[in-house]
Amino acid sequence: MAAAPTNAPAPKGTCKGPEHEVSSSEMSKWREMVDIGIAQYMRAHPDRFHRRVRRGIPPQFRWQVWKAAVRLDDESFLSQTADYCKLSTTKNDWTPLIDIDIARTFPELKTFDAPQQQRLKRVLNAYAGYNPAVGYCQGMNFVAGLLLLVSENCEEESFAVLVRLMDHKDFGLSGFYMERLPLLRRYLRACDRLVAETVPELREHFIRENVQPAVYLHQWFLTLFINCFPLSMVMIIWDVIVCEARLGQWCLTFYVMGCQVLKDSLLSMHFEELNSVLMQIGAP
Amino acid sequence: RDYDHLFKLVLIGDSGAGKSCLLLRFADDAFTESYITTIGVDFRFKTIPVDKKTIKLQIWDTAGQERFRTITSAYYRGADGIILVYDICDRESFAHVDEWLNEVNRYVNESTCKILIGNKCDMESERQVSTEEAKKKADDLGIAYIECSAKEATNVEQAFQMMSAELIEKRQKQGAGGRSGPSAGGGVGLLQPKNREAGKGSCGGLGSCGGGD
Repeated sequence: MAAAPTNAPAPKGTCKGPEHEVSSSEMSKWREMVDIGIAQYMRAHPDRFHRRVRRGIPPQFRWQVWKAAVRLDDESFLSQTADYCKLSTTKNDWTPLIDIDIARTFPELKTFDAPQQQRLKRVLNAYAGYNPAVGYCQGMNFVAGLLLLVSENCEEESFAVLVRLMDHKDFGLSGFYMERLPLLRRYLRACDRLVAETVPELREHFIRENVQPAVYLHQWFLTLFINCFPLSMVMIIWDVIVCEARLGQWCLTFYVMGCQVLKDSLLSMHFEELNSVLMQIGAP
Repeated sequence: RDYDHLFKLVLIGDSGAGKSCLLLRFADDAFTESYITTIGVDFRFKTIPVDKKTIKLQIWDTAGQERFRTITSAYYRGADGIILVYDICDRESFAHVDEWLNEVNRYVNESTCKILIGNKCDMESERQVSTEEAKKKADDLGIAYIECSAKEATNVEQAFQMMSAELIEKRQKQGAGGRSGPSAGGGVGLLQPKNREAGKGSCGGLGSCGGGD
């Protein structure tokens, strides 16, 4: 990718809200890393790389960095996903469900127009055909949709990154979406235990008020926050998730931190208000 | 408190049947063609007058995909009413009505009120399930049936009114006859035939109304 001028606007379609400001010194650091090669830089200076990621990846380099972080340059992996063309267009058991959801993914985004919806449909269809044990589950539409936004409509690459995030042991997203949703259930149990340990009075309050936080966490976890926060914020969360590959830690940290920060307010609320507030956190 | 009765209702049915759109129409009197996929649940309160009573409805909108049924018990718990939605232009969604009822009956008291809604009745030219067939199905199941259009606001308000009226009647009976335990109504099954008077009759259970109160 050619280096963009320092004050270049964010590539179209990558973000609905204003992206974070990237200072010129930060930009030159990223340009240097790109010149060396992100993959090499990651290996040579992992700590420095992660520190920089946590400050947010400049939008014009984001896709390149994500691809490197999931190690898309692995030849043997790329050959596995080489039959995208066939996978994306061959009907499978999941095609009708995917059809229902493509118009219901980022409907508020202008860049998510009809051609983009067709790309999303092909990417999801390809994944369902590639890994029929997982197939398609609602929530995956937002993940694949986000990849298309960041890659600026590059279907094949979005598919390959999706496969990597779903099935590679470092990420293992497919655990959220496969039959019986095992990873989701595991995280919900872990969240409950963590809150019991860190803010027990809040957990007791939820029980007393007959409020089940798990219900709201489905949305957070199954869209990996995509559906829950402004897209500019989602991008930064995803920079860290993709580059650090510690999905569980992030999911749990967000929830427990939220409970700790909001503890006093939540403790003063009753059933109706509690539900409304928890629901709003999950729907900006 | 600012209401006479509070009822918890849960919308269920196949993905794409229009559950979220029905809720949006009822709660906000609005409609959008581009609704976002419901992941997990959505949730609304709405207060309506029914028979000179003020009724507060707490309505849960659930994800329709089959895979989510593994986690939906949390939503059904304590429901006073179940609103089962299918799309009149999608026979498949109608064919799944029995499955949905079986699923929900695993978690709610058998006497929980249920209603069947055929949505998208504005799209007559694409209809795949006739009104007669759906009515017969609902009669066999012993539940009320109504056709709605979230898009054109047809019968949406009425469907919720109908369910509320039934729930009030039921709660008043409970109040008059003293509280009975859930087991008292045991055996009053879903398949019990009922009179099909307009606006009432689908709640035949004698037991208490789930855990909603």
